[in-house]
Amino acid sequence: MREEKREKIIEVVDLCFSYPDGHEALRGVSFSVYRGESLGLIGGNGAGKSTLLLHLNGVLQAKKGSVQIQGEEITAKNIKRLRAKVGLVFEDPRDQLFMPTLFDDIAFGLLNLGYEAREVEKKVREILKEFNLEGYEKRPPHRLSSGERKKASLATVLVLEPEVLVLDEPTATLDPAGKKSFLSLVEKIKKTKIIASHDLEMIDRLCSRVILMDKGRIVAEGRREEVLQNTALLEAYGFDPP
Amino acid sequence: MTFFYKKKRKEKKALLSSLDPRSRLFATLTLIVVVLITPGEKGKNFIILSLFIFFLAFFSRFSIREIGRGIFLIFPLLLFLSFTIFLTEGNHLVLLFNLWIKFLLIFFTLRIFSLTTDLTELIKALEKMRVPHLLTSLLFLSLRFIFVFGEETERKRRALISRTPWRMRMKIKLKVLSSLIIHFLDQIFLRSQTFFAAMLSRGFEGRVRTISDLRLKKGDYLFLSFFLGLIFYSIFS
Repeated sequence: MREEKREKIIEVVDLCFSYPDGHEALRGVSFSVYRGESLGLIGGNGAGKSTLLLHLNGVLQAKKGSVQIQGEEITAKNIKRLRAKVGLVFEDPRDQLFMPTLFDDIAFGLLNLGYEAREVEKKVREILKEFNLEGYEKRPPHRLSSGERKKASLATVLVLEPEVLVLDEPTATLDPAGKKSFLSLVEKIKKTKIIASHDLEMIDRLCSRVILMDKGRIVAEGRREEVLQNTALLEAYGFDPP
Repeated sequence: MTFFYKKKRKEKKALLSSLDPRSRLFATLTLIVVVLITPGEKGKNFIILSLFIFFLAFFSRFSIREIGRGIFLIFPLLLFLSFTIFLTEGNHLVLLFNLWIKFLLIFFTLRIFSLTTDLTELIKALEKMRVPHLLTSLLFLSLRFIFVFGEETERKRRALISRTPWRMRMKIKLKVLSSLIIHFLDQIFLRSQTFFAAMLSRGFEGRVRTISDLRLKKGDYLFLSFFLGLIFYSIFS
């Protein structure tokens, strides 16, 4: 009841999506995300988590159903504006960082959004300082360590100041030390967050609400304790409780 | 990694790198054209051009060894072309000199340009020179995909070597390779899609934008005046 009084920032209604090869990735997914909350999205491989995340940013468009950002449905007309509200961090930072230098990579989104050169430079310097990446401006992203790459990919998104931060398997490419440092960084970000992962310990640490997906459907949704302490439910979908 | 730092440190000091990339691009392209159109028998002109390229190499602060890296890759082609010269009529020595000197001068010119100019600078220069955005974006994307191509090739090579410690028969080798190529292309396609999604998610609309902070300075005008003077002297002397 308390959640309904809070502002809905994302609303997904009966979302369906099939890939060109006919594989049905999403089958009538509906849920809401509220301002300021951290939502965990769990599910096995092929559950549809990544496909769902791509819809939230408008990279994939709904075939059936709708995705609304702050009450506006994503359409071709408003996609640029709405896309800036949802920042998407991909699972593998090597796929996210594509410019010749880290500075250019962080500036990429800002320039696409039409920021002035001076403002871009200022924002890039600020985020590099915030993420302890000063001095790395001229380095090619593929020459960074995996921990640095992950931080850099987060910086490329946060510099755009999105309303919602979406993280796809954020710890998948990190070693234990890298994971610890990255999670501390994510914890400090005071934004609405959606985190998709198999890592239930991380979800337990970062999220207040959890959605469990399987074969393109939502099979359970509730407060963190309700889902993560339901041993029978988790085991039925191949998870060990955290 | 070591090379990267070495290169950056030198770039900071190098006079050539401090020039506007448009000056470097213009000089490189003009130099290539002049080398190509200079007749083989004009040895004096080649000495002037060689001295100028040596002068560029000196101000790039890269060693001759670094600039010459990869030169052996063009030798098989040069040797093959040298052999074909003997099948034609004319002064074979002049033709051989013409072929070798032009190839080497162009090679060194391009190496100096690529060592002193990074991709972002090149794109900025091309955009300032009003080259269509489609071409600059294509250049950027194709160069990015060289890395993807390299990474995927290495992955497939490792996968193949790790499971084939013995010598394969040619028939099996061909079968494995054809299957690998399909996987390889599929993988490249999938990664291309992810890249594109990552670009779209940050507002990409078909044009790679960069901060254009290029400005021709006194040094550029001095360099270009000296360069053009030398080129005119080389052509008309």
